[in-house]
Amino acid sequence: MTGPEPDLDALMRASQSGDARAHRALLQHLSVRLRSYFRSRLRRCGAGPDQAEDLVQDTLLALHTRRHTYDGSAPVLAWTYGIARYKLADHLRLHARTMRNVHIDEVDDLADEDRYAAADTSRELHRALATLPQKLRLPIEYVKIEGLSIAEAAARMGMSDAAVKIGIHRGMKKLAAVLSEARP
Amino acid sequence: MNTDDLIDFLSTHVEAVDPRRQDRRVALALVGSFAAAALICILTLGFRPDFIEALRTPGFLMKIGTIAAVVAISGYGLRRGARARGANGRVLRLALLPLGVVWIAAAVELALLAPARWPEVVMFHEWRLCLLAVPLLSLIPLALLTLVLREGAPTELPVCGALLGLCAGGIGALAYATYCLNDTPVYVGVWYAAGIALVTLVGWIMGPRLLKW
Repeated sequence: MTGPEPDLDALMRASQSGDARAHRALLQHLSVRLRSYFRSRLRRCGAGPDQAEDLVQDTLLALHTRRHTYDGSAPVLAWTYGIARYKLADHLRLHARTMRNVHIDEVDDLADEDRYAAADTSRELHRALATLPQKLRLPIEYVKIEGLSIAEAAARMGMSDAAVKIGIHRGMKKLAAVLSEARP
Repeated sequence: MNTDDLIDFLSTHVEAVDPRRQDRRVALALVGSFAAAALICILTLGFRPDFIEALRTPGFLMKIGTIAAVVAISGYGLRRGARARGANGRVLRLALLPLGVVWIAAAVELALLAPARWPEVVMFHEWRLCLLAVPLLSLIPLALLTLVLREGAPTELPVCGALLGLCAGGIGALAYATYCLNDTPVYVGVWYAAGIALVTLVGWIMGPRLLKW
């Protein structure tokens, strides 16, 4: 990303008002920043780029599900790095604990498994989705994967629009938790 | 998983969100939990009979004012902390400032009394009730504010937990003040402060567990 710095505050406000294109542009821009942030931090701890990418994704999910907590009182990047730091600390704490139980000759096997999992995005997503209860899973499948509108999904499920929106909101938070727990 | 695919997934049908909703929820939790705690206090312990006269005494106004200031400052810290802001320790220290005012007033009060009368002023017969009632009445604000905060993005969990406890403890103390007859700075500075400190300690210790997301 070498273009001029986009106005992140304007993108964030547009994304908060439901502009999907602004949301995508924001997440794309932030993912580049997050990747270099996590890589440089993890390199110091001797961890590889695979873990950095997991953290980028955890953080993107967190930014997405907590986007209502940005209110313009601090720059978008300060808010983003605040969440990124939290995710990094969480990761290092968890990782330090599990690494102690892993023998050094097992590490390569784990890394291989990791690569297989990384190859198939949709299977990983669907596996995580399958753990959610139906009333959280279906709204996400209809709206976020099949691309139906809220009203269409509501009609198909026989639920109100509001119930579908709440289902998506709760489901995405649950999904973020399931995805980050599923990681080695 | 491929990160670009994840961004595609997240950017399909983005729902509008209201960044002010969280502030409204914090405000609602503060007011609602105070009303509930005060009601429970009045129904179980009773209403202080001289409430209207007390409103005109400096002791009562100082008690209510300083505790309300603690609640307001820690509430501001919670609002900040729930938006992934750092450096909340500074807000926590600021929230202790009103307590300092009470302690200065308490020192003046004691200085004006003969040392032989100090134990009688400090060990007012209801201190055990105060120490028990303030934390118990704090349970409702503690629970409600925890729920609100978990919807946010707190990142400094022990400090946010301590702010949570301080705020809840302050609300519990305000609720208890609808019953309690003792408005002296010494009593407030020792027993109210101890009750609030207890809840703050619980919040600080439980913060990482309660607020983890």
